[in-house]
Amino acid sequence: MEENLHNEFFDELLRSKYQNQTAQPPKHLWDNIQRAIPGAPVSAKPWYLSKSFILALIVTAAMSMAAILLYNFYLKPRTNPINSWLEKNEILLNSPAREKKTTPKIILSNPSLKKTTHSIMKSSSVISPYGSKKFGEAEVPRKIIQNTSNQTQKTVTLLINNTIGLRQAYEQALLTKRIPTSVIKSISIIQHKGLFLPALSPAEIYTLRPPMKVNIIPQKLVKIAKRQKAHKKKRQSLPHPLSLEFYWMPEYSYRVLAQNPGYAKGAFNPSYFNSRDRYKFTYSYGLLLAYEVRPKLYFETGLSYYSYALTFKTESANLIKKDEYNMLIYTSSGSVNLNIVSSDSLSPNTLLKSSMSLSYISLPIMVKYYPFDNLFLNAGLSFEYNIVQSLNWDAENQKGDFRMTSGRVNGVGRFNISFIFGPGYEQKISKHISFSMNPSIRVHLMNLNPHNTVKSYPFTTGFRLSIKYVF
Amino acid sequence: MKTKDIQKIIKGCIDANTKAQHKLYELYAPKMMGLCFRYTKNQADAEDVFQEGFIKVFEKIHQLQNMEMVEWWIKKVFINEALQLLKNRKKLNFADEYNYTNLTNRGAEEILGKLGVEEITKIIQELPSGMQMVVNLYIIEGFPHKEIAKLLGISEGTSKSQLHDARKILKQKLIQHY
Repeated sequence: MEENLHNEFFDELLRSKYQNQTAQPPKHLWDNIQRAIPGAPVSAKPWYLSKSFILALIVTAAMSMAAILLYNFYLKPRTNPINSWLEKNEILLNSPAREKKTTPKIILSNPSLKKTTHSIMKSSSVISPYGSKKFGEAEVPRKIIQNTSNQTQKTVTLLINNTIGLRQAYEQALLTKRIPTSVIKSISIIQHKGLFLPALSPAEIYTLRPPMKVNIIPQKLVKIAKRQKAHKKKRQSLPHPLSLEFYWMPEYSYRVLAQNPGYAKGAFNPSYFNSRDRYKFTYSYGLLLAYEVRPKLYFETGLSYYSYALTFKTESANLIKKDEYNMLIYTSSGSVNLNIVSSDSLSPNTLLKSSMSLSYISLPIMVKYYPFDNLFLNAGLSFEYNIVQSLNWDAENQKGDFRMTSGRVNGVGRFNISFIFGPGYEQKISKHISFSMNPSIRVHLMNLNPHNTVKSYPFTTGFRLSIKYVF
Repeated sequence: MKTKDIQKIIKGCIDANTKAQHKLYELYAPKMMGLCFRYTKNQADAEDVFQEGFIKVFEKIHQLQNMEMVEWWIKKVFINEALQLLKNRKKLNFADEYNYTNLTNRGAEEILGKLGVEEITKIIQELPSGMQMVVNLYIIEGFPHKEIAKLLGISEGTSKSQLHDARKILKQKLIQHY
């Protein structure tokens, strides 16, 4: 009795000594464990799959989209460089159609006339690089005429200095007429008595600002300028470069399997799963923002939901039983733990059917090219993150009273990158809205589950239906 | 740490998430290292058990039924691993006879109270492996003799006699040590 009491006291004392016993393990042990456990070490992950990279990519895409929107709606200058270049060179191209619309306005640099604008140029041709020149007509500003006509005491002559160095003198009587000349650089009003002109003492000089130079333009440049002008016209009729698109796509999903070299070739190989897996119809939808980066070429990004699903059949004989209620089952996507909710037991021939789906949130980065007005090709990558897994298991025995619940497929990777491509047809409904149809293929570039007995690369084929709003 | 956080870590481990695995390791590694020292004879064996134990934990964590019992479950994995190591090396022996002298209990208890964990662990490590197991499982972990017998593959009577002898030897060693 006394010994028992002492023993209990001794045990209690010893137990209390170890109650909070800890010891620091050497650091290298974690490295060894990490190498041996199913979860691959962080450093072994490719850089483009790291969380930080994908996060940076999403942030960059979001910022780019925000910048594009900001630029388009707030910062973009109303006249673009091409337009201003064309405006500047309009006179050289001398489009008769353009002339009717606007006549170049030139401001005189004389302080008293500073705010006055004058229609001065009505040239009809360009001086070509080959020397052929056709003089147009210049209309002397009415203000100058008024100034000169007030000076009745003296003879007034206008000296027109043109850009190719010719000086042409005109009497006051001719001032109301149009003077045949090339382009006027400056106009000098010279007051004098008699017929002789003083050499260099003009009373007033009006320099036209900017000086209307007649450049000698190489033919090539003229052609380019014409093309640009034509593009500008066409562009004016084209829609805004930014558009927003909503799509919905019914998809057929399946997978390609290969032996995983990390696992021994056993019962659970590609042929085993090929005889049991069946395709499943799923869908995806999303919102995309497209921007025209070059004529006919669009950059497209946004956010979408995508689901990969599969049906799997197996006999209960192929389940690995852990205990009375828990079983392990192998699927092409990975192993699944089953908890049986039934008092009945499974016979080896009981056929079990499961439907499994993996839902992803994805960030597509695509390019879209329109070789023809209504036809397009699109291709790009989609960065996907698995958000939900769902599994439903049914026993197809005669009684049909089995119910099974399961957690999740073990070891399915969270991240995936897919390649998407397909042609499409777009039909404009109104000025801002168009509808498009786009057969599309999505291929997973990454193995679905690196810890599975087989490598699984899901793919889907679908028909994308989109409605687009052009800003 | 909150139960919710631990559940989150375990779910991460089931998904083979490296970060979650590291968190679980950081949480339980010091306690399990201490346990490994108790169940083995030297540092190298303790490290072997520790390493293999954690590998098993990560491999089998999906089998964990009750998340609130995670520490107990991990401890059991480690104990099994230590046992496996001893069995593989054929070092699990249960001494039939061991010479010890009867001592007054009070003397040993006083000494036990004064010693640190490391010193006591060294003394426990000096016990024959079978006795060491029984002491650890019965006194420190609180396993009943029935379960100890099942774990070690011995009869309940052997478990009890091993414990009885182990106490005597421990007391003798404590006094000698002091």
